[in-house]
Amino acid sequence: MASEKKVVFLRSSDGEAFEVSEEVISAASVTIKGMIDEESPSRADTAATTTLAIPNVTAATLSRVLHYVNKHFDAAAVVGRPDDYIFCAPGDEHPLARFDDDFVDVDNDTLIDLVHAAEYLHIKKLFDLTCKAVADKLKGRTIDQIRETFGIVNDYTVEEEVEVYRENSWAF
Amino acid sequence: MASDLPTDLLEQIFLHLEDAADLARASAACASFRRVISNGRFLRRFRSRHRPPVLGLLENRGGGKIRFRPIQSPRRSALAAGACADAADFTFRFIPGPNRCCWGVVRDARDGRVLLSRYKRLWHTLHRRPPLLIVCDPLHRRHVEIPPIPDDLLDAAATTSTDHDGGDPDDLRRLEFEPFLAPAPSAADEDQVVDELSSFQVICNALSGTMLVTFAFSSASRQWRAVASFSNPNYVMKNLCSLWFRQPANGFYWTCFSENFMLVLDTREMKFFVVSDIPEKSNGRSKIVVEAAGEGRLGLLLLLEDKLELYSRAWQGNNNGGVVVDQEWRHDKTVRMFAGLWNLSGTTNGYAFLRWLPRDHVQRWEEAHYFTVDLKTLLVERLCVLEFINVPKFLYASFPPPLSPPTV
Repeated sequence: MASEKKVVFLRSSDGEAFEVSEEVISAASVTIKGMIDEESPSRADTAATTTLAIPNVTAATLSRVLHYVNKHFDAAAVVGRPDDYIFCAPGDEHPLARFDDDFVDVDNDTLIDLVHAAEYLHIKKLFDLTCKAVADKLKGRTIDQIRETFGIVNDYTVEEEVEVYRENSWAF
Repeated sequence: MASDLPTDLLEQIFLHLEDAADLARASAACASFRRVISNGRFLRRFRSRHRPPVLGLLENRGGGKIRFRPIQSPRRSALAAGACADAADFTFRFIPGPNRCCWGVVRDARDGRVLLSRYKRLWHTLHRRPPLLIVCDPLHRRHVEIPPIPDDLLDAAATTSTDHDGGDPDDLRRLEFEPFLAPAPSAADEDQVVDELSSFQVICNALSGTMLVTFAFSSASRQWRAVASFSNPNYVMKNLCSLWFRQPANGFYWTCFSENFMLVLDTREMKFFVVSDIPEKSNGRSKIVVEAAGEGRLGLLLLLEDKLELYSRAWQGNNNGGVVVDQEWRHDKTVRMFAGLWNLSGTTNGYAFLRWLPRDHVQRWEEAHYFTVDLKTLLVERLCVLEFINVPKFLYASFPPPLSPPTV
């Protein structure tokens, strides 16, 4: 039926398939739009739905990504509002701002997985959101807290450490 | 885990940090973070995305003396300001030559650069001749001398003005000059912008009678050229010392001659246009053109008593450089401040700075309080408290070492 929306299935690295509207995912992900465009000549005359393999993304991450994509790129669900309105009054924030805040309120590993997935799938808004969320975890932290949060081993030699601490000491 | 991220992902993450101190602490956490952050390409990208923090005020103390006044805590960049004050040389003694003390007048400061001219005993003579200028990076102790505006350019400008309004060709020998710093003209491609961060423009307005000519010097070509002129008997420009001309937003330079009108140079078209119907009465020096919300809108920020009023309107340049406006000013926002005598003291790098004095005429003023206004968010923040001396001041904003590659 012409009125019915086309869907595609995305198969995660661990084999789970997720259904998503073709229109929505094409608007969101440059990578998947490319895959669909490559497939389209062969499926124009068939009713069969397409399944695309997403080998770099696990089911847990992919389901989160699709949750985000459906919120942000489904034209029917999004309340129209220009993003570049720079003089927003206090409390007059973008309707999806709260959703975004909750979305990235996850543990570090999950967040880093989302950064990788957003980069691989080429979803710019999600990539910026997740990179910013990682950066937020660095803000206002001491060096030890940064190391602890990100599981970093101090790999400076003693001489290097003296030099690094000297040139950045104003920030400690 | 995070330290295993590839370099380009780490760059993307660090680009979202706004406070230079966060960047400095991250680079101290491990060697791979530091490699990314100290990389020149990253630093240039970071600088093109984030405005440098305000570090303090440069004061012309008179007698060829310049003083740097770092901002005071609790402002978050106070530590960076301290580091900068330690590392930089704001006495400008690094300028070689026997007459180095002559470079004793700050004319402008922007993007970590300082524009200096020679000290003249009589202040009014400062504006009377094409100034000898030098652009410095006090953090890296570097400088570039700017040649004077060539006579043939001044003569050509005089001839044009005579043709235009029948003025006196000798007028240009009675010019007043006002130089200031501008970023290099922006390129469409981000990579190009990144490469050009160490280049700059010096702009010099020259006023004579009813005519204004704008000259620009580019660090890339090392040449002066006349870029725009304006002359209209309906708009009288009396003297350039009150002229006050800066760039807050994409390609606009503006000036306020009176309560009634502002002259704006659109640097994309290199044309002047007049904004004459100012929505509220405010004195000549308390108006700023700002980047407005949305495409094709011109913002106007007015300082009135103890509040800031933001207006905007749709506008369109035309071939004559005029402004075709299809609607009234729209009032966008009011920012109320506490009561007192507010004065707009300058702008740079997307900030304006205000001076506040208590509204008490009996009491002798001993202290002046300085505040910044972020021209994008209109956030007003405390800058510093200084003894009350009415000398020219310039806002100095720069990334602290080691996050700041040389700017000249």
